[in-house]
Amino acid sequence: MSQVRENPGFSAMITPHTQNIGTLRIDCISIEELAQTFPDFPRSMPNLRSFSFSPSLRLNHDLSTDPFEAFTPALTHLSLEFLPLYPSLLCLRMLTDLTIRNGPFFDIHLDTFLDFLEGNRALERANLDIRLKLPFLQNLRGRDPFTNRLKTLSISSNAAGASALISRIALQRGATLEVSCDGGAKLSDILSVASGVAHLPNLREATFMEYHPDHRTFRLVGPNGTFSFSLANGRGNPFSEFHLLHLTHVRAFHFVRREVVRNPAENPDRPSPNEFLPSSFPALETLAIEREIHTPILFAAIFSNPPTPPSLKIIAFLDCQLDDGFLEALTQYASNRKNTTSAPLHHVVIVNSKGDLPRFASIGALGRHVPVVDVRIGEKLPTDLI
Amino acid sequence: MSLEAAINLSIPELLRVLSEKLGQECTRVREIPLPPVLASIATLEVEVSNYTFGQSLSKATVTVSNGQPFQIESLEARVQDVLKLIPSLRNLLQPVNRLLPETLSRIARLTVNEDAIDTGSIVPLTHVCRYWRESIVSTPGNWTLVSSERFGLAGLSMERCLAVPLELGWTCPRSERIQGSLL
Repeated sequence: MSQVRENPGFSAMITPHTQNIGTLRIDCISIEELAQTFPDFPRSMPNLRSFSFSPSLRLNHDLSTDPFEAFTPALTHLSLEFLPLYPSLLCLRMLTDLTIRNGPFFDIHLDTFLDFLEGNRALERANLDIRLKLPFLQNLRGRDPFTNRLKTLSISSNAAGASALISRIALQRGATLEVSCDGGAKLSDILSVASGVAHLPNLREATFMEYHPDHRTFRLVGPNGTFSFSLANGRGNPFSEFHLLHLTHVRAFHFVRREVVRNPAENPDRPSPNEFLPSSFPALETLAIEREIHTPILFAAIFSNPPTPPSLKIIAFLDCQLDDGFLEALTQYASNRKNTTSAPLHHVVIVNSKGDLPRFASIGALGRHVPVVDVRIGEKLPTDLI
Repeated sequence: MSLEAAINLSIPELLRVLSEKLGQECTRVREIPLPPVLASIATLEVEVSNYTFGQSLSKATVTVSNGQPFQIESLEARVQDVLKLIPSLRNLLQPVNRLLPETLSRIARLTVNEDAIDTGSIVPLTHVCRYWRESIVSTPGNWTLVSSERFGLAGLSMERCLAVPLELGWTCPRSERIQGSLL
Protein backbone atom coordinates (compact mmCIF):
# COMPACT_ATOMS: atom_id res chain seq x y z
CA MET A 1 0.00 0.00 0.00
CA SER A 2 1.67 3.21 -1.07
CA GLN A 3 -0.81 5.68 0.27
CA VAL A 4 -1.52 6.42 3.88
CA ARG A 5 -5.03 5.18 4.61
CA GLU A 6 -5.53 7.23 7.70
CA ASN A 7 -6.98 10.67 7.37
CA PRO A 8 -4.16 12.38 5.46
CA GLY A 9 -4.91 15.53 7.44
CA PHE A 10 -3.82 13.74 10.58
CA SER A 11 -0.46 12.83 9.06
CA ALA A 12 0.02 16.43 7.98
CA MET A 13 -0.98 17.60 11.43
CA ILE A 14 1.51 15.45 13.32
CA THR A 15 4.47 15.87 10.97
CA PRO A 16 5.53 19.28 12.40
CA HIS A 17 5.46 17.74 15.88
CA THR A 18 7.61 14.71 15.03
CA GLN A 19 10.60 15.85 17.06
CA ASN A 20 8.33 16.43 20.01
CA ILE A 21 6.85 12.94 20.21
CA GLY A 22 7.77 11.23 23.48
CA THR A 23 5.35 8.32 23.30
CA LEU A 24 4.24 6.64 20.10
CA ARG A 25 1.56 3.96 20.06
CA ILE A 26 0.77 2.52 16.66
CA ASP A 27 -1.97 0.03 16.09
CA CYS A 28 -3.08 -1.56 12.83
CA ILE A 29 -0.79 0.60 10.69
CA SER A 30 1.69 -1.04 8.33
CA ILE A 31 5.43 -0.62 8.52
CA GLU A 32 5.32 1.12 5.12
CA GLU A 33 2.80 3.65 6.36
CA LEU A 34 4.93 4.33 9.40
CA ALA A 35 7.98 4.98 7.20
CA GLN A 36 5.95 7.16 4.87
CA THR A 37 4.49 9.34 7.60
CA PHE A 38 7.68 9.59 9.64
CA PRO A 39 10.62 9.52 7.24
CA ASP A 40 13.88 8.64 8.92
CA PHE A 41 12.05 6.97 11.83
CA PRO A 42 13.12 6.55 14.62
CA ARG A 43 16.01 9.00 14.19
CA SER A 44 13.47 11.74 13.47
CA MET A 45 12.11 11.34 17.02
CA PRO A 46 14.98 12.19 19.36
CA ASN A 47 12.60 12.55 22.32
CA LEU A 48 10.99 9.15 21.88
CA ARG A 49 10.90 7.31 25.22
CA SER A 50 8.06 4.87 24.68
CA PHE A 51 7.29 2.94 21.51
CA SER A 52 4.42 0.52 21.06
CA PHE A 53 3.80 -1.07 17.68
CA SER A 54 1.15 -3.52 16.65
CA PRO A 55 1.36 -3.39 12.88
CA SER A 56 -1.07 -4.59 10.29
CA LEU A 57 0.74 -7.33 8.41
CA ARG A 58 -0.12 -8.91 5.13
CA LEU A 59 0.25 -12.66 4.86
CA ASN A 60 3.24 -12.41 2.54
CA HIS A 61 4.92 -9.70 4.54
CA ASP A 62 8.69 -10.06 4.69
CA LEU A 63 9.74 -9.62 8.30
CA SER A 64 13.36 -10.59 7.79
CA THR A 65 14.60 -7.08 7.06
CA ASP A 66 15.05 -4.70 9.95
CA PRO A 67 12.79 -1.75 9.04
CA PHE A 68 14.16 0.53 11.72
CA GLU A 69 17.34 2.49 12.05
CA ALA A 70 18.97 2.92 15.42
CA PHE A 71 16.56 3.88 18.20
CA THR A 72 17.42 6.54 20.67
CA PRO A 73 19.29 4.77 23.48
CA ALA A 74 17.04 6.54 25.98
CA LEU A 75 14.00 4.48 24.99
CA THR A 76 12.54 3.09 28.23
CA HIS A 77 9.25 1.47 27.16
CA LEU A 78 8.98 -0.97 24.28
CA SER A 79 5.95 -2.98 23.24
CA LEU A 80 5.90 -5.09 20.09
CA GLU A 81 3.29 -7.34 18.61
CA PHE A 82 3.96 -9.78 15.75
CA LEU A 83 7.39 -8.34 15.11
CA PRO A 84 10.79 -9.93 15.65
CA LEU A 85 13.36 -8.38 17.95
CA TYR A 86 15.34 -6.71 15.17
CA PRO A 87 19.02 -5.83 15.65
CA SER A 88 18.03 -2.18 15.98
CA LEU A 89 16.04 -3.12 19.08
CA LEU A 90 18.59 -5.51 20.56
CA CYS A 91 20.92 -2.53 21.05
CA LEU A 92 18.58 -0.94 23.58
CA ARG A 93 19.95 -0.82 27.12
CA MET A 94 17.70 1.55 29.10
CA LEU A 95 14.39 -0.30 29.01
CA THR A 96 12.25 -0.33 32.13
CA ASP A 97 9.15 -1.87 30.50
CA LEU A 98 9.18 -4.54 27.83
CA THR A 99 6.20 -6.23 26.21
CA ILE A 100 6.59 -8.77 23.44
CA ARG A 101 3.59 -10.52 21.94
CA ASN A 102 5.06 -12.44 19.12
CA GLY A 103 3.24 -15.70 18.68
CA PRO A 104 5.01 -17.69 15.98
CA PHE A 105 7.36 -14.88 14.96
CA PHE A 106 9.78 -15.22 17.84
CA ASP A 107 12.77 -16.71 16.06
CA ILE A 108 15.63 -15.56 18.18
CA HIS A 109 18.10 -17.75 20.02
CA LEU A 110 17.37 -17.89 23.73
CA ASP A 111 20.93 -16.97 24.65
CA THR A 112 20.67 -13.76 22.62
CA PHE A 113 17.35 -12.95 24.19
CA LEU A 114 18.65 -13.54 27.72
CA ASP A 115 21.65 -11.32 26.93
CA PHE A 116 19.20 -8.64 25.84
CA LEU A 117 17.19 -8.93 29.06
CA GLU A 118 20.32 -8.99 31.20
CA GLY A 119 21.72 -5.97 29.35
CA ASN A 120 18.71 -3.89 30.27
CA ARG A 121 19.58 -3.61 33.92
CA ALA A 122 16.82 -1.11 34.73
CA LEU A 123 14.10 -3.44 33.48
CA GLU A 124 11.21 -3.51 35.98
CA ARG A 125 8.37 -5.10 34.03
CA ALA A 126 8.60 -7.72 31.30
CA ASN A 127 5.57 -9.24 29.64
CA LEU A 128 6.65 -11.96 27.24
CA ASP A 129 4.14 -13.83 25.13
CA ILE A 130 6.48 -15.94 23.02
CA ARG A 131 6.81 -19.45 21.65
CA LEU A 132 10.34 -20.74 21.57
CA LYS A 133 11.00 -23.39 18.97
CA LEU A 134 13.36 -26.23 19.63
CA PRO A 135 16.24 -24.95 17.44
CA PHE A 136 16.37 -21.77 19.46
CA LEU A 137 16.47 -23.66 22.75
CA GLN A 138 19.22 -26.05 21.73
CA ASN A 139 22.90 -25.54 22.44
CA LEU A 140 22.01 -23.13 25.19
CA ARG A 141 25.26 -22.34 26.90
CA GLY A 142 25.35 -23.09 30.59
CA ARG A 143 24.53 -19.89 32.36
CA ASP A 144 23.48 -19.17 35.89
CA PRO A 145 20.26 -17.29 36.56
CA PHE A 146 21.01 -13.60 36.27
CA THR A 147 19.92 -11.11 38.91
CA ASN A 148 17.86 -8.11 37.86
CA ARG A 149 15.49 -5.42 39.09
CA LEU A 150 12.33 -6.93 37.66
CA LYS A 151 9.23 -6.33 39.76
CA THR A 152 6.93 -8.26 37.44
CA LEU A 153 7.77 -10.98 34.96
CA SER A 154 4.87 -12.38 32.95
CA ILE A 155 5.54 -15.29 30.65
CA SER A 156 3.06 -16.85 28.30
CA SER A 157 4.65 -19.68 26.40
CA ASN A 158 4.92 -23.37 25.76
CA ALA A 159 6.32 -25.37 28.67
CA ALA A 160 9.82 -25.61 27.20
CA GLY A 161 10.05 -21.88 26.61
CA ALA A 162 8.58 -20.98 30.00
CA SER A 163 10.87 -23.31 31.92
CA ALA A 164 13.93 -22.13 29.97
CA LEU A 165 13.16 -18.52 30.84
CA ILE A 166 12.12 -18.82 34.47
CA SER A 167 15.04 -21.04 35.34
CA ARG A 168 17.48 -18.36 34.16
CA ILE A 169 15.87 -15.20 35.48
CA ALA A 170 16.39 -14.90 39.23
CA LEU A 171 13.75 -12.47 40.38
CA GLN A 172 14.45 -10.29 43.38
CA ARG A 173 12.57 -10.67 46.65
CA GLY A 174 9.07 -9.25 46.46
CA ALA A 175 8.77 -9.71 42.71
CA THR A 176 5.80 -11.21 40.92
CA LEU A 177 6.15 -14.10 38.50
CA GLU A 178 3.18 -14.92 36.27
CA VAL A 179 3.37 -17.98 34.07
CA SER A 180 0.76 -19.08 31.58
CA CYS A 181 1.44 -22.31 29.73
CA ASP A 182 -0.28 -23.89 26.78
CA GLY A 183 0.25 -27.00 24.69
CA GLY A 184 -0.91 -29.48 27.33
CA ALA A 185 1.73 -28.34 29.80
CA LYS A 186 1.65 -29.18 33.48
CA LEU A 187 3.09 -27.46 36.51
CA SER A 188 5.55 -30.32 36.84
CA ASP A 189 6.86 -29.57 33.35
CA ILE A 190 8.24 -26.25 34.41
CA LEU A 191 9.22 -27.27 37.92
CA SER A 192 11.02 -30.42 36.89
CA VAL A 193 13.85 -28.83 34.90
CA ALA A 194 17.21 -29.19 36.56
CA SER A 195 17.55 -25.60 37.72
CA GLY A 196 13.84 -25.23 38.52
CA VAL A 197 12.13 -21.90 38.94
CA ALA A 198 14.68 -19.35 40.04
CA HIS A 199 12.00 -17.44 41.94
CA LEU A 200 10.83 -20.39 44.04
CA PRO A 201 13.17 -19.72 46.99
CA ASN A 202 11.35 -16.39 47.42
CA LEU A 203 8.06 -18.26 47.71
CA ARG A 204 8.98 -20.56 50.57
CA GLU A 205 7.37 -18.16 53.04
CA ALA A 206 4.13 -17.83 51.05
CA THR A 207 1.16 -17.33 53.37
CA PHE A 208 -1.80 -17.07 50.98
CA MET A 209 -3.00 -19.18 48.09
CA GLU A 210 -5.85 -18.53 45.70
CA TYR A 211 -7.10 -21.11 43.25
CA HIS A 212 -9.48 -20.50 40.33
CA PRO A 213 -10.34 -23.96 38.98
CA ASP A 214 -12.38 -22.66 36.06
CA HIS A 215 -9.42 -20.61 34.84
CA ARG A 216 -7.00 -23.35 35.90
CA THR A 217 -5.03 -20.69 37.69
CA PHE A 218 -3.48 -20.42 41.12
CA ARG A 219 -1.69 -17.59 42.85
CA LEU A 220 0.74 -18.01 45.70
CA VAL A 221 1.47 -14.86 47.70
CA GLY A 222 4.05 -14.25 50.38
CA PRO A 223 6.11 -11.44 51.85
CA ASN A 224 8.97 -12.23 49.48
CA GLY A 225 7.14 -12.67 46.24
CA THR A 226 4.15 -13.81 44.23
CA PHE A 227 3.83 -16.68 41.79
CA SER A 228 0.83 -17.28 39.59
CA PHE A 229 0.44 -20.16 37.18
CA SER A 230 -2.28 -20.91 34.68
CA LEU A 231 -2.98 -23.44 31.99
CA ALA A 232 -4.20 -21.49 29.02
CA ASN A 233 -5.60 -24.22 26.83
CA GLY A 234 -8.46 -25.32 29.08
CA ARG A 235 -6.96 -28.70 29.89
CA GLY A 236 -5.29 -30.10 32.97
CA ASN A 237 -5.80 -29.28 36.61
CA PRO A 238 -3.05 -27.65 38.66
CA PHE A 239 -4.88 -28.64 41.87
CA SER A 240 -3.49 -32.14 41.64
CA GLU A 241 0.06 -30.77 41.54
CA PHE A 242 -0.04 -28.53 44.57
CA HIS A 243 2.18 -30.98 46.40
CA LEU A 244 5.03 -29.79 44.16
CA LEU A 245 4.90 -26.37 45.78
CA HIS A 246 6.23 -25.27 49.13
CA LEU A 247 3.01 -24.63 51.05
CA THR A 248 4.07 -25.19 54.64
CA HIS A 249 3.47 -21.55 55.61
CA VAL A 250 0.19 -21.02 53.79
CA ARG A 251 -2.34 -19.83 56.37
CA ALA A 252 -5.24 -18.96 54.05
CA PHE A 253 -6.57 -20.84 51.03
CA HIS A 254 -9.21 -19.31 48.80
CA PHE A 255 -11.03 -21.57 46.32
CA VAL A 256 -12.97 -19.50 43.77
CA ARG A 257 -15.37 -20.82 41.15
CA ARG A 258 -16.32 -18.35 38.42
CA GLU A 259 -20.03 -19.04 38.66
CA VAL A 260 -22.49 -21.45 40.16
CA VAL A 261 -23.16 -24.31 37.74
CA ARG A 262 -25.95 -26.57 38.91
CA ASN A 263 -25.59 -29.03 36.08
CA PRO A 264 -21.93 -29.82 35.24
CA ALA A 265 -23.07 -31.38 31.96
CA GLU A 266 -23.84 -27.88 30.73
CA ASN A 267 -20.16 -27.02 30.96
CA PRO A 268 -18.06 -30.09 30.15
CA ASP A 269 -14.80 -28.08 30.24
CA ARG A 270 -15.35 -27.23 33.88
CA PRO A 271 -12.80 -29.21 35.88
CA SER A 272 -14.34 -31.61 38.36
CA PRO A 273 -13.66 -30.81 42.00
CA ASN A 274 -10.79 -32.45 43.80
CA GLU A 275 -10.50 -33.43 47.39
CA PHE A 276 -8.78 -30.71 49.32
CA LEU A 277 -5.74 -32.40 50.82
CA PRO A 278 -5.06 -30.89 54.22
CA SER A 279 -1.67 -32.57 54.44
CA SER A 280 -0.37 -30.10 51.83
CA PHE A 281 -1.33 -27.17 54.04
CA PRO A 282 -0.06 -27.89 57.57
CA ALA A 283 -0.34 -24.24 58.68
CA LEU A 284 -3.79 -23.55 57.22
CA GLU A 285 -6.00 -21.34 59.42
CA THR A 286 -8.62 -20.07 56.99
CA LEU A 287 -10.38 -21.97 54.22
CA ALA A 288 -12.71 -19.93 51.98
CA ILE A 289 -14.80 -21.52 49.23
CA GLU A 290 -16.79 -19.63 46.58
CA ARG A 291 -19.55 -21.01 44.31
CA GLU A 292 -18.82 -24.70 44.67
CA ILE A 293 -21.70 -27.14 44.47
CA HIS A 294 -19.62 -30.21 45.27
CA THR A 295 -18.59 -29.11 48.74
CA PRO A 296 -18.85 -32.68 50.17
CA ILE A 297 -16.20 -33.85 47.69
CA LEU A 298 -13.95 -30.90 48.46
CA PHE A 299 -14.20 -31.51 52.21
CA ALA A 300 -14.09 -35.33 52.15
CA ALA A 301 -10.47 -35.62 53.26
CA ILE A 302 -10.88 -32.95 55.94
CA PHE A 303 -14.01 -34.47 57.46
CA SER A 304 -12.49 -37.94 57.50
CA ASN A 305 -9.59 -36.76 59.62
CA PRO A 306 -10.80 -34.17 62.17
CA PRO A 307 -7.38 -33.20 63.58
CA THR A 308 -6.32 -31.87 60.19
CA PRO A 309 -5.40 -29.22 59.30
CA PRO A 310 -4.23 -28.67 62.89
CA SER A 311 -4.55 -24.89 62.91
CA LEU A 312 -7.80 -24.52 60.96
CA LYS A 313 -10.04 -22.00 62.75
CA ILE A 314 -12.16 -20.38 60.07
CA ILE A 315 -14.23 -21.86 57.23
CA ALA A 316 -16.14 -19.53 54.90
CA PHE A 317 -18.63 -20.26 52.13
CA LEU A 318 -19.99 -17.91 49.48
CA ASP A 319 -22.86 -19.15 47.29
CA CYS A 320 -21.97 -22.77 47.94
CA GLN A 321 -24.45 -25.61 47.97
CA LEU A 322 -24.77 -26.47 51.66
CA ASP A 323 -27.46 -29.07 52.22
CA ASP A 324 -28.49 -30.53 55.56
CA GLY A 325 -26.20 -33.51 55.06
CA PHE A 326 -23.15 -31.29 54.59
CA LEU A 327 -24.04 -29.08 57.56
CA GLU A 328 -24.41 -32.20 59.68
CA ALA A 329 -20.98 -33.44 58.58
CA LEU A 330 -19.49 -30.01 59.31
CA THR A 331 -21.10 -30.00 62.77
CA GLN A 332 -19.73 -33.45 63.45
CA TYR A 333 -16.25 -32.34 62.32
CA ALA A 334 -16.37 -29.33 64.65
CA SER A 335 -17.52 -31.53 67.48
CA ASN A 336 -14.87 -34.20 66.92
CA ARG A 337 -12.18 -31.57 66.58
CA LYS A 338 -12.80 -30.37 70.11
CA ASN A 339 -11.63 -33.74 71.31
CA THR A 340 -8.26 -33.46 69.55
CA THR A 341 -5.17 -31.40 70.24
CA SER A 342 -5.82 -29.34 67.11
CA ALA A 343 -7.21 -25.82 67.29
CA PRO A 344 -11.00 -25.83 67.68
CA LEU A 345 -13.05 -24.50 64.79
CA HIS A 346 -13.84 -20.96 65.87
CA HIS A 347 -15.65 -19.23 63.05
CA VAL A 348 -17.93 -20.40 60.22
CA VAL A 349 -19.18 -17.84 57.70
CA ILE A 350 -22.03 -18.63 55.32
CA VAL A 351 -22.90 -15.97 52.75
CA ASN A 352 -25.41 -16.35 49.95
CA SER A 353 -26.35 -13.74 47.40
CA LYS A 354 -29.83 -15.16 46.83
CA GLY A 355 -30.71 -15.90 50.41
CA ASP A 356 -30.40 -19.64 49.84
CA LEU A 357 -29.23 -20.31 53.37
CA PRO A 358 -29.21 -23.50 55.49
CA ARG A 359 -32.13 -24.25 57.78
CA PHE A 360 -32.21 -22.59 61.17
CA ALA A 361 -31.97 -25.93 62.97
CA SER A 362 -28.79 -26.88 61.10
CA ILE A 363 -27.21 -23.54 61.91
CA GLY A 364 -28.23 -23.88 65.53
CA ALA A 365 -26.66 -27.34 65.76
CA LEU A 366 -23.43 -26.02 64.25
CA GLY A 367 -23.50 -23.10 66.68
CA ARG A 368 -23.32 -25.50 69.61
CA HIS A 369 -19.79 -26.47 68.56
CA VAL A 370 -18.51 -23.34 66.84
CA PRO A 371 -18.43 -20.09 68.86
CA VAL A 372 -19.14 -17.80 65.90
CA VAL A 373 -21.49 -18.82 63.09
CA ASP A 374 -21.99 -15.83 60.80
CA VAL A 375 -24.85 -16.33 58.33
CA ARG A 376 -25.83 -13.50 56.01
CA ILE A 377 -27.15 -12.48 52.62
CA GLY A 378 -24.50 -10.79 50.51
CA GLU A 379 -22.39 -10.77 47.39
CA LYS A 380 -18.97 -11.11 48.96
CA LEU A 381 -17.17 -12.76 51.82
CA PRO A 382 -16.01 -10.45 54.61
CA THR A 383 -12.77 -8.88 53.41
CA ASP A 384 -10.96 -9.50 56.68
CA LEU A 385 -11.25 -13.25 56.07
CA ILE A 386 -9.39 -13.35 52.79
CA MET B 1 -27.55 43.97 48.29
CA SER B 2 -29.28 42.34 45.33
CA LEU B 3 -28.23 43.04 41.79
CA GLU B 4 -31.64 44.55 41.01
CA ALA B 5 -31.28 47.04 43.83
CA ALA B 6 -27.75 47.84 42.73
CA ILE B 7 -28.88 48.70 39.22
CA ASN B 8 -31.29 51.34 40.57
CA LEU B 9 -28.53 53.18 42.38
CA SER B 10 -26.87 56.25 40.95
CA ILE B 11 -23.56 55.62 39.35
CA PRO B 12 -21.41 57.14 42.10
CA GLU B 13 -23.34 55.19 44.76
CA LEU B 14 -23.13 52.02 42.78
CA LEU B 15 -19.41 52.36 42.34
CA ARG B 16 -18.95 53.09 46.03
CA VAL B 17 -20.94 49.98 47.00
CA LEU B 18 -19.20 47.84 44.46
CA SER B 19 -15.76 48.90 45.47
CA GLU B 20 -16.53 48.38 49.15
CA LYS B 21 -18.09 45.00 48.55
CA LEU B 22 -15.42 43.78 46.20
CA GLY B 23 -12.67 45.23 48.29
CA GLN B 24 -13.81 43.27 51.33
CA GLU B 25 -14.21 40.02 49.50
CA CYS B 26 -10.99 40.38 47.60
CA THR B 27 -9.01 40.58 50.78
CA ARG B 28 -10.11 36.99 51.44
CA VAL B 29 -8.57 35.73 48.25
CA ARG B 30 -5.32 37.58 48.19
CA GLU B 31 -3.57 34.49 46.92
CA ILE B 32 -5.50 34.65 43.66
CA PRO B 33 -4.02 36.98 41.05
CA LEU B 34 -6.20 40.03 40.41
CA PRO B 35 -8.52 39.03 37.58
CA PRO B 36 -9.34 41.37 34.70
CA VAL B 37 -12.74 42.26 36.12
CA LEU B 38 -11.27 43.58 39.37
CA ALA B 39 -8.60 45.43 37.48
CA SER B 40 -11.21 47.20 35.38
CA ILE B 41 -13.24 48.11 38.46
CA ALA B 42 -10.16 49.51 40.12
CA THR B 43 -9.44 51.64 37.05
CA LEU B 44 -13.03 52.80 36.97
CA GLU B 45 -12.87 53.74 40.61
CA VAL B 46 -9.79 55.86 40.05
CA GLU B 47 -11.45 57.63 37.15
CA VAL B 48 -14.60 58.38 39.10
CA SER B 49 -12.73 59.62 42.11
CA ASN B 50 -11.29 62.27 39.80
CA TYR B 51 -14.71 63.59 38.73
CA THR B 52 -16.19 66.79 40.06
CA PHE B 53 -19.89 66.96 39.45
CA GLY B 54 -20.79 70.38 38.08
CA GLN B 55 -24.05 72.09 37.32
CA SER B 56 -24.20 70.75 33.79
CA LEU B 57 -25.64 67.34 34.73
CA SER B 58 -28.76 68.15 32.77
CA LYS B 59 -26.58 68.01 29.67
CA ALA B 60 -25.56 64.50 30.64
CA THR B 61 -21.96 65.45 31.00
CA VAL B 62 -19.64 65.80 33.96
CA THR B 63 -16.47 67.78 34.16
CA VAL B 64 -13.37 65.85 34.98
CA SER B 65 -10.79 67.51 37.22
CA ASN B 66 -8.31 67.66 34.37
CA GLY B 67 -10.86 69.50 32.24
CA GLN B 68 -11.90 66.59 29.94
CA PRO B 69 -15.65 66.16 29.42
CA PHE B 70 -16.99 62.68 30.12
CA GLN B 71 -20.20 61.14 28.84
CA ILE B 72 -22.42 59.62 31.51
CA GLU B 73 -23.75 57.17 28.96
CA SER B 74 -20.27 55.87 28.38
CA LEU B 75 -19.69 55.49 32.09
CA GLU B 76 -23.03 53.73 32.49
CA ALA B 77 -22.20 51.32 29.69
CA ARG B 78 -18.95 50.44 31.33
CA VAL B 79 -20.67 49.83 34.66
CA GLN B 80 -23.13 47.55 32.92
CA ASP B 81 -20.20 45.64 31.46
CA VAL B 82 -18.76 45.28 34.90
CA LEU B 83 -22.09 44.10 36.30
CA LYS B 84 -22.26 41.39 33.69
CA LEU B 85 -19.00 40.08 35.01
CA ILE B 86 -20.31 39.77 38.54
CA PRO B 87 -21.29 36.06 38.12
CA SER B 88 -17.73 35.26 37.04
CA LEU B 89 -16.47 37.15 40.01
CA ARG B 90 -18.80 35.28 42.31
CA ASN B 91 -17.47 31.98 40.88
CA LEU B 92 -13.98 33.19 41.48
CA LEU B 93 -14.72 33.74 45.15
CA GLN B 94 -16.00 30.18 45.67
CA PRO B 95 -13.71 28.09 47.90
CA VAL B 96 -13.06 25.59 45.09
CA ASN B 97 -11.68 28.38 42.96
CA ARG B 98 -9.10 29.26 45.55
CA LEU B 99 -7.23 26.20 44.28
CA LEU B 100 -4.02 27.09 42.55
CA PRO B 101 -4.01 26.64 38.77
CA GLU B 102 -1.38 23.92 39.16
CA THR B 103 -3.69 22.00 41.49
CA LEU B 104 -6.63 22.34 39.13
CA SER B 105 -4.48 21.06 36.29
CA ARG B 106 -3.33 18.14 38.35
CA ILE B 107 -6.95 17.25 39.11
CA ALA B 108 -7.81 17.57 35.42
CA ARG B 109 -5.07 15.12 34.49
CA LEU B 110 -6.43 12.63 37.01
CA THR B 111 -9.64 12.43 34.98
CA VAL B 112 -7.67 10.79 32.18
CA ASN B 113 -7.60 7.10 33.01
CA GLU B 114 -4.93 4.64 31.96
CA ASP B 115 -6.86 3.37 28.97
CA ALA B 116 -7.75 6.79 27.64
CA ILE B 117 -6.69 7.53 24.09
CA ASP B 118 -6.88 11.31 24.38
CA THR B 119 -7.74 14.16 26.72
CA GLY B 120 -11.46 14.12 26.00
CA SER B 121 -12.26 13.77 29.70
CA ILE B 122 -10.55 17.09 30.46
CA VAL B 123 -12.56 19.13 27.98
CA PRO B 124 -15.78 19.34 30.09
CA LEU B 125 -13.76 20.82 32.95
CA THR B 126 -12.82 23.75 30.73
CA HIS B 127 -16.51 24.61 30.44
CA VAL B 128 -17.06 25.07 34.18
CA CYS B 129 -15.94 28.69 34.49
CA ARG B 130 -13.45 31.14 33.12
CA TYR B 131 -10.91 30.55 35.88
CA TRP B 132 -10.94 26.76 35.38
CA ARG B 133 -10.74 27.17 31.63
CA GLU B 134 -7.75 29.51 31.78
CA SER B 135 -5.98 27.34 34.34
CA ILE B 136 -6.48 24.08 32.47
CA VAL B 137 -6.07 25.30 28.91
CA SER B 138 -2.88 27.21 29.68
CA THR B 139 -1.14 24.14 31.13
CA PRO B 140 0.55 22.33 28.21
CA GLY B 141 0.99 19.14 30.20
CA ASN B 142 -2.78 18.62 30.18
CA TRP B 143 -2.89 18.23 26.42
CA THR B 144 -0.14 15.78 25.58
CA LEU B 145 -2.33 12.74 24.92
CA VAL B 146 -3.31 12.78 21.26
CA SER B 147 -5.15 10.21 19.17
CA SER B 148 -5.86 9.92 15.48
CA GLU B 149 -9.34 8.69 16.36
CA ARG B 150 -10.53 12.19 17.25
CA PHE B 151 -9.12 14.51 14.67
CA GLY B 152 -10.60 17.76 16.03
CA LEU B 153 -9.42 17.23 19.58
CA ALA B 154 -6.00 16.11 18.28
CA GLY B 155 -5.51 19.45 16.53
CA LEU B 156 -6.59 21.38 19.59
CA SER B 157 -4.32 19.33 21.85
CA MET B 158 -1.26 19.77 19.65
CA GLU B 159 -1.89 23.51 19.65
CA ARG B 160 -2.15 23.63 23.43
CA CYS B 161 0.65 21.26 24.42
CA LEU B 162 3.33 23.59 23.00
CA ALA B 163 6.76 21.95 23.45
CA VAL B 164 5.82 19.29 26.01
CA PRO B 165 6.53 15.76 24.66
CA LEU B 166 3.49 14.28 22.96
CA GLU B 167 1.92 10.89 23.63
CA LEU B 168 0.64 9.99 20.22
CA GLY B 169 -1.74 7.15 19.46
CA TRP B 170 -2.08 6.37 15.79
CA THR B 171 -4.48 3.71 14.62
CA CYS B 172 -6.37 2.80 11.51
CA PRO B 173 -10.06 3.72 11.34
CA ARG B 174 -12.39 1.55 13.41
CA SER B 175 -14.17 0.28 10.29
CA GLU B 176 -10.91 -1.16 8.93
CA ARG B 177 -10.11 -2.83 12.23
CA ILE B 178 -13.50 -4.52 12.34
CA GLN B 179 -13.13 -5.59 8.73
CA GLY B 180 -9.66 -6.98 9.49
CA SER B 181 -10.92 -8.99 12.44
CA LEU B 182 -13.63 -10.58 10.33
CA LEU B 183 -11.25 -11.74 7.61
